[in-house]
Amino acid sequence: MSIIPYIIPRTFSNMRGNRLSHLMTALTIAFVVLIFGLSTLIYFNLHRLAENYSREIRIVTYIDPALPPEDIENLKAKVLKLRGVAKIRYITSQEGYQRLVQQFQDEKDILAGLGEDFLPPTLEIEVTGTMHNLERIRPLVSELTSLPGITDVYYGKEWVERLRRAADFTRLITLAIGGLLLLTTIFVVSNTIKLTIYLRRNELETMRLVGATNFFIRGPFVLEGMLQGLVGSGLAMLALFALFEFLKTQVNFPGFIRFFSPIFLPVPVVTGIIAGSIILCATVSAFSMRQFLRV
Amino acid sequence: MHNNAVIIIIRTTFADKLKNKMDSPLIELKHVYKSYEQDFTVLEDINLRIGKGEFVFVNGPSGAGKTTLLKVILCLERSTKGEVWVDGINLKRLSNYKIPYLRRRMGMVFQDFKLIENLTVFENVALAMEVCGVKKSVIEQKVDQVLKSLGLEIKKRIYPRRLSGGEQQRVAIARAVVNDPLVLLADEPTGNLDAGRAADIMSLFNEISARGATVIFATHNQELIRSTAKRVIILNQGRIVT
Repeated sequence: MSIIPYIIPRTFSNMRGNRLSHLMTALTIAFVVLIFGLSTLIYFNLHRLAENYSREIRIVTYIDPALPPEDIENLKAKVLKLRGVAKIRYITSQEGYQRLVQQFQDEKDILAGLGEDFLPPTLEIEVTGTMHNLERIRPLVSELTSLPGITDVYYGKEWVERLRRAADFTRLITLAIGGLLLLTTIFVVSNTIKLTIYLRRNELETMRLVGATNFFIRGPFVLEGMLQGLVGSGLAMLALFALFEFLKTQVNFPGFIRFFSPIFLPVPVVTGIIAGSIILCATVSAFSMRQFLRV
Repeated sequence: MHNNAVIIIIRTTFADKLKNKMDSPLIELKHVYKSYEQDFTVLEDINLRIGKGEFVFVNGPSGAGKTTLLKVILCLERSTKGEVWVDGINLKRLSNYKIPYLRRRMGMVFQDFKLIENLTVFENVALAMEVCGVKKSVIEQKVDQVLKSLGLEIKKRIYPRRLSGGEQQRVAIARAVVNDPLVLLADEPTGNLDAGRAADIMSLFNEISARGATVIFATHNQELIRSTAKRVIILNQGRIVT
């Protein structure tokens, strides 16, 4: 003996009886989830971009040109021992000059009048995989700065930090939209359920009189909520994907990110958003029923 | 020898319990009060015993507390004071969770029928079995049988709004009896019907009672009561007069 076979058809008959209201609810959910998804998508790609640039980070240290060769060897050994250093490469003043000559082959005038030793010798440092996070690089940079013989330390911190700030800001926006999503869904779904309850109050009353349990009465409403969440968030994800594909072909990314190809939200994130919407709508439906389910 | 003594004791205890159960009324109200606000008492010191298979009229003017009395028995309302027992269950101690299961053992018929407009006659009656989780095949068989016994088999696919008042009340009775309830509670079931239809409905209740169900029939219709020789409980301003 099970009441499940009776709950499912009742859900669909409830929804048929209140079609317009359910459609509007699903569309509202779709709209809010679309905004949330869009902001998640932007955050996700900005974060990826920042991660990619972090990976490209090379720390360049300038070495005092007056440092004797044996001190340079000592310095290289010390740097190699520092935590997070994967590889180092020593570039003499002459090698540095040759690199510049190659880079400015067509504009040799730029280098006219500069001697081969105008650049200080440098140490190029590659960091280990675990050091890509800026927060971890900072202590390494300060250790390098404190080493005698090193005059300056450079890394592409401005760009990476700017990207990270943008990603953090987007995350804040995403969280705010998430909150908005929560409130809107609670408001819209609970109102739809309350309207349905009002329209069907006589039927629900009769069901109570003939001995229906709260589960039997509540079941179709919770299922309705789940379906609204599924349809709304599913539509939103489809619309977001279409929007993403359209924008990818239309937008020309500016210089420094022109080689970055944005990707759509990964499957687990999409699944999470849909599952979250379903759970949220079902919970709101169940709670909206509570006041009705008295003895 | 020892084992035989144990068996005899068990048999005796079981027999005593069975006898007590048979002797005890199906419904018993002990000093029951029901008030909605401090100075608005609807039922006052109600003491009542109704035996298994009894047919009882509850009579009294409008506002006497007839409907509230039925609601208290069906556990739609909790008594403010006193004890209500139904088939050995003290309703005061019955948790909210168990109330639906109690209601499944009782059938209730209302003056306004309380049929669901968007369900057919068949579906309205079947609902009472669906909430119990009975198999579809069993439901079909039982509902058809009950509808047939009430002369409604040709109306089973029709929606309630296309039925006459008497037919709608018969559907409501079908829904109330389809689970073979111990008790059938009726709240002014003939109130919306003309004299001829009321007599039809009355004879239906007599048939149901003859099959063994306890019937509590609330009505303010004196004619109906005079036409039978059944026990009558008269309520006035929330108190039992006789």
